[in-house]
Amino acid sequence: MNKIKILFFLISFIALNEAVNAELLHDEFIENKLNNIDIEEPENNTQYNYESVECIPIKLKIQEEISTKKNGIQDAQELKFAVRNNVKYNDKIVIRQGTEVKATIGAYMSRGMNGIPASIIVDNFRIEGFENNKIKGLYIKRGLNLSLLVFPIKWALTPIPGVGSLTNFIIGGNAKITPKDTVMIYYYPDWGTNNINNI
Amino acid sequence: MRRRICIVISLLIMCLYPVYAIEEDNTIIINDRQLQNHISNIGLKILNSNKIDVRMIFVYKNKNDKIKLEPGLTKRQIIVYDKDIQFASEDAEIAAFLSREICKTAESYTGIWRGIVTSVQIKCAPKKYQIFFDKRAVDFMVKAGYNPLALITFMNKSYPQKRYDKISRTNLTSKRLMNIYEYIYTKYPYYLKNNEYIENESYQNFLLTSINNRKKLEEKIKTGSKKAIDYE
Repeated sequence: MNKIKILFFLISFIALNEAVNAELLHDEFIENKLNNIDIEEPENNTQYNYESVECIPIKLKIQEEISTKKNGIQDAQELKFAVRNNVKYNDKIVIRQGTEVKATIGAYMSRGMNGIPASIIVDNFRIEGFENNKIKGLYIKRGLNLSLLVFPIKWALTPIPGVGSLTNFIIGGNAKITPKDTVMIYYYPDWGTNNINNI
Repeated sequence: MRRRICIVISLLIMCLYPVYAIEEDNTIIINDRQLQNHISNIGLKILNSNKIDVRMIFVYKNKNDKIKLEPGLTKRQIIVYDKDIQFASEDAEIAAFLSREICKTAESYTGIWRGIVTSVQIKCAPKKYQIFFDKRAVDFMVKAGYNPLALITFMNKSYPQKRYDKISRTNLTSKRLMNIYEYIYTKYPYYLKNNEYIENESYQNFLLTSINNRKKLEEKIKTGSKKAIDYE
């Protein structure tokens, strides 16, 4: 009798478990797509020590022009930069001119109404042989900002019904990064990995 | 005799009541302090992890607190009201809320006139910036060691859904959620592959309510299109 009870209990437990699992929704397309790829866990930066102020400035230029024009860029797009000049530290060349530096588009915003310019944020700069978390670099490029012109006109015209809103149709400029632009990043060799952060 | 007992009991109650009231007040203050410390710690962790080298502070504001504070864009202080975090069930969700606000406040430091113009732009055209901040918040959370899917679960349970957004100053929440989802898929697919939130009710609800939008994303991935999707 006991065996029957245990068996009944087990079967009902498994059935109940299955029923609960069956209710869970999954994004099957995405899961199938990702299951075939090896993905590393993204690097975080939770172990830091910003005591040191000594840094090596590194001047970069982009290798290929990018622009927000006509879907020209994508989120998380990889970008390639090159070092403009030899970088010296303690009178020794630590990075040669032309060394490739990789970076990622952090996020971008297309241009908008009221003269709001497009903007591109480039971050996550990576140099081979250097620790990523010791590199401080964030590059923001914006297009032509017409909102300085648009907002005063808009507010001045607001008393005339419907006219102020016409300025909505003035669009800001596209953002582009060309090889002529100098991108500055900084390498802090002594930024340690002391376990300061234990919240 | 009865009368005396009644008087003694009444006196006892009268004496004890203020003690309880003081204790209750103290408990509220201690809770508020703990919450304030916790919020500050999470906020500072996000700032430090992302090497955000501009100053801002985090102020927790209880609903009983009547003092008015200037918002982040002018004074660079992030005010966290009770109603903002009442939906947060874990640190990652508090971090989700703070990351968004940090993006906004950090943006107010950029641009001409010490960021005045940018602040005006954010105020006057918030729709454009909303999705931009959502995406940056994802980056901030990842760097600080939080799972960015918490931003989806937090927003899904705390941000209401409007009827239209065509002539509105803000985006539909469903649209924002889907943009975050697409961004995580593109930039941090690790979190979708090793999904810790698959059994979370809010995440499941997001999956349920975003079926049509996810089909659009599926189509975009299949065709390899670079066009931005107009989510509903």
